[in-house]
Parts: sequence; structure tokens; C-alpha cells
Amino acid sequence: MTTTVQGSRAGTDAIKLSGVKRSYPTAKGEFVAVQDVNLTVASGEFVSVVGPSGCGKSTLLGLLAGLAKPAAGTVETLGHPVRGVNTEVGFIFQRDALLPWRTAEQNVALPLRYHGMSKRDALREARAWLSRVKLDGFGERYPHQLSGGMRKRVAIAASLAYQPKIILMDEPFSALDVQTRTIMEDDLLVLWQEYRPSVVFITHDLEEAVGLSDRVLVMSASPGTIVGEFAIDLPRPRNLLELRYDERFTELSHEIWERLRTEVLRTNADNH
Amino acid sequence: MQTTIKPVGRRLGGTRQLRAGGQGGRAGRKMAAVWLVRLAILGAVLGGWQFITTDPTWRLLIGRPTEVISLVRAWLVDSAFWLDVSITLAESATGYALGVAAAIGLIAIIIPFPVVGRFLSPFIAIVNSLPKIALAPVFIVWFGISFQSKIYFIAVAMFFVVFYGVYSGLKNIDRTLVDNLLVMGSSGLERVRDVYVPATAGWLISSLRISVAWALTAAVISEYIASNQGLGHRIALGQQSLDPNAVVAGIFMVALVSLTADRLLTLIDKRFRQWRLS
Repeated sequence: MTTTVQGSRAGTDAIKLSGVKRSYPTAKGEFVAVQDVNLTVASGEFVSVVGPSGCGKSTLLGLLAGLAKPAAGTVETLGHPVRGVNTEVGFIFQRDALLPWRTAEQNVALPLRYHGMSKRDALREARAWLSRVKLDGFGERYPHQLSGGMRKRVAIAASLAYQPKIILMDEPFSALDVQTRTIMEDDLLVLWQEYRPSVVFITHDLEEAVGLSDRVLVMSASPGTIVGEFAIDLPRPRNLLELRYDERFTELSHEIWERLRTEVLRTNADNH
Repeated sequence: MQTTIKPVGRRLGGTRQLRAGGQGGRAGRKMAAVWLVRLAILGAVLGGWQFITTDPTWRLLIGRPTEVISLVRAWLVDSAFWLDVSITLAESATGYALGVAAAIGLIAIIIPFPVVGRFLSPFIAIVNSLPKIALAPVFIVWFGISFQSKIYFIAVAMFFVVFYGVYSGLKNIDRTLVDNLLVMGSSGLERVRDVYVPATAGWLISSLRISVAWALTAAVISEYIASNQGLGHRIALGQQSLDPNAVVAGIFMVALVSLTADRLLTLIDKRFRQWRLS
């Protein structure tokens, strides 16, 4: 198999990476974060990328968001190449990116204001989004007055509020406890189903990837490249709270783990 | 004085008492005991002091508590004393504002044009390495025994504190905050308004307590060196007339002003907690 990974509906690609390489100069010479990455994501598709830590998963998102430039290859979103910062995407970071000096609703209103909405409309819209992420009544709290899960909900509301067609998520739930996490994932799926953006979801948690996605891509140990592709044929809508006991879910997880394990072991061998 | 009493008092008196909740009686008794011991220490020190100074030689050296107290009481109803206090405060505030403005002004040039910073940084570092106190006489030579010589001296001392604090604060702003706003489609001005200005304000607020203590110290020192007004001048007068009571009372009043300012600023600090970057 070549490393080209095809979206399920050709012709409506929201994302297209061809032959992408990203490298940095370091004291010990060139460090290659990712190379030979070919990937397409159809519009409305939910794709997860799993891989051993340090394999360059997050680098892919940086490239898609235009926060980093590829050393080789092309990065396209919505049919045109990414030049400079890509404001057509929503980015949900692993770390908290909310402004600590703004309330929850002000944080959600921020991107709307940047997109030219009036202050009044932006705040009204922000409140509606907070209610969609189940944070009614928390609008006037500051981030430090919210729990980690709530802050992630605010970040999701802020990224969805301006309705980008592509959402990039970088291990968004990795800092949350297991129960909070499952509930967040479930709520995320409901929102996704409603607005249907294309999603690229980075995680090191295989079950999270299988539960959420239409497709799971496996990245190799560093330098990262895509070494496996698995279609997740679980019916939607899915109930993540029950899914873990589903036979097909277990089967798929097991299958992907077989591929992923090799890479994880390779990473560990390299590090020791 | 400030540094030892404050944390102990807060820890024992505030949070622990609250957390004890139902068993408040026991915690309360413990607190009362702590306060009793503190009062006993204070009493012993003052009593010992009062006792030693029955000897006139000692009295000439360290003053006498009862005499200090009566002097302070006389000051408190004397408008000349309050004029001195207000002058010291005005010098501190003006000097602080001037220093902050200069530091922020320079940072507003250096951050967008790093090349300027590269040219200036060794000079800033050299001047910063001078002991600031040693600069006080320079300002007196330049501006005389005036309000200006005080505020410029304070401003220079504050400039470096603020410059290095804010500069490193802005350099260490979490890149994620900025990346997030970039992707959300913010303009450069919007990022200045939404990240850099609040981060600077947050740093200023959280450093305000330390800065103001610094500014007050600088004001008192420069008044002490050469002046005809202010709390430092009062201490200098006491010293020149060999009146230990006046020196002790002057120091005590400086401490009291500084403590009061600190307490008030703690309130501001709490009010703007969300402005502080972790």
C-alpha cells in the first residue's frame, strides 16, 4: 500500500496534504518532525491521528493552521494552499488558550468580534454557544473560576462559534479525568453531528480515536509519517458511554493497536 | 516587620480558622493563645526598652517608648506632619508613574522592533547594575533639593524594576494564547489590545505592592539625603538635633505608611486576580 490516504468522498476534500515534510534546524543538525505525509480529509469527515508520543502528530495541525511552514510538499485547505496563518480553521489546543482576563462569554465572543460582528451581537451569540456546550449561567465567570472540563467547553464554543469548516483538535481532553473526558467526547460528537465540520483530532488515546472518528490514521515513530489507515464503520449516532462494550469497537481497537504497538515499541526502543 | 507578621497572621487567622468550621472553638482558643504570646513578646520588648532607658545614656541612644508615643501623638494632630506624609506619598506616586511610563514606552518600541533592543540592551544592563541608591546624590546635583530631584530618582529606580519585569513577562507569554488569537483571525492591533496590554497591566498590578514599597523607600532615602520636606526629612532632622525619639518615631511612621499602602494594594491585587498570568 502507498502512504496516500483517500478521503471517503473524493472531490469534496476539505484538507489535502501531499508529500509534506516539516523539519527544524537543531544543534545536532536537521530534525525531521514529519515527512512524506499524504492525507486528504473529506468535508464533514471526522479523522483521528494516533501515534507514539513525539511522532509529530501536533506538527500536522500546526501546518494546517499555517502556524508552521512545510519544508517540502503542499498543504491545502478548502481547495487552496495555506499561506500564512489559516483563519479558515478552528483550533482547539491541548493547553488552555482562553484569555485569563476575559470572562467565558467574552472569550467566546472574541473570534466573532475579529470576524467583524458588533459587540452586542457577538455577546448574544457567545451566550447561545455557551448554552450549546452546556455552560448556561457560567458566562460571566473567568477561566480561573471554571474547572478544566468547563474551560475546554468554552474553548470548543469559541472555536465553533465562527463556524469554520475545519476544526483542528490537539489532544484537547488529555488533561481531563476519564469520566469527564467520556462525557466531553460524547457532547463533542453531538455538536459535530449538528454542524458537520471536518475534524482532525490528534490523540494518543486509541479508544478515544475509535469512538469519535470515521477514520483513524496511525503515525509512525519519529520522523512521523502515516503508516496505517482504518475506516471505523460503527454506526452513528454513537453513544460513547456504551460504546466500549460494543464488539465491533473492541475488534477495531484491537486491530489498530496491532499496528500502533509496533510504533510505540520503536519509540521506546529509541528512547532507552 | 511586614514580611514576618503578614503570612503568619493570614495562615493562622484566616484560612485555618475557616476550614476548622465546626470545631471553631479549638482553633479559636489556639488563635487566642498565639495572639497572647505575641502580645507578651511585644510587651516584653517595649517594657525592657522603657526600663533600660531610665538610664539617660541609653535614652540618648535609643529614645524612650513613652516619649516616642507622645511625640507621635503630637505629630498626628500637626498639619505640618501630614504635609510631610503627603509630600512623600506624592513623590512616590509621581516617580512610580514616571518610571512605569518610561519603561512601557521603551518596551513598546523594543517588542515590535527587536533590533532596537539589541542595540540598547548592554547599556540598560550596565545602568541597571549600578546600585540605584548611589544615584540619589547625582539627582540632587542636577535638580537641587527639589520635588523633581526626588521623582526623577524614584523614576529611575522604578524604570528598571518595571522594564525587566514587564519585558520578561511579555517574552514569556504563553505562545498558545497568541497562536489561538492568530487562528481566530485577530489583527495585530487586536492582539496588542487583547493580550499584550492586559498581560502588562496584570504584571503591573501583581508587582504593585513590591514596586510601591520600593518607591517609598527611594523617596524616604532621597529626602533623608537632602530635602526640606517629607518623612525622610523628619528623620534627618531628628538625627541632626540628636533626638533619638524623633528618629524612632520617623522610622515608625514610615513603616506605618508603607504597611497601610501594602494593605490597600492587597485589595487591588485580589480584585484583579484574573489579570495575573500563571
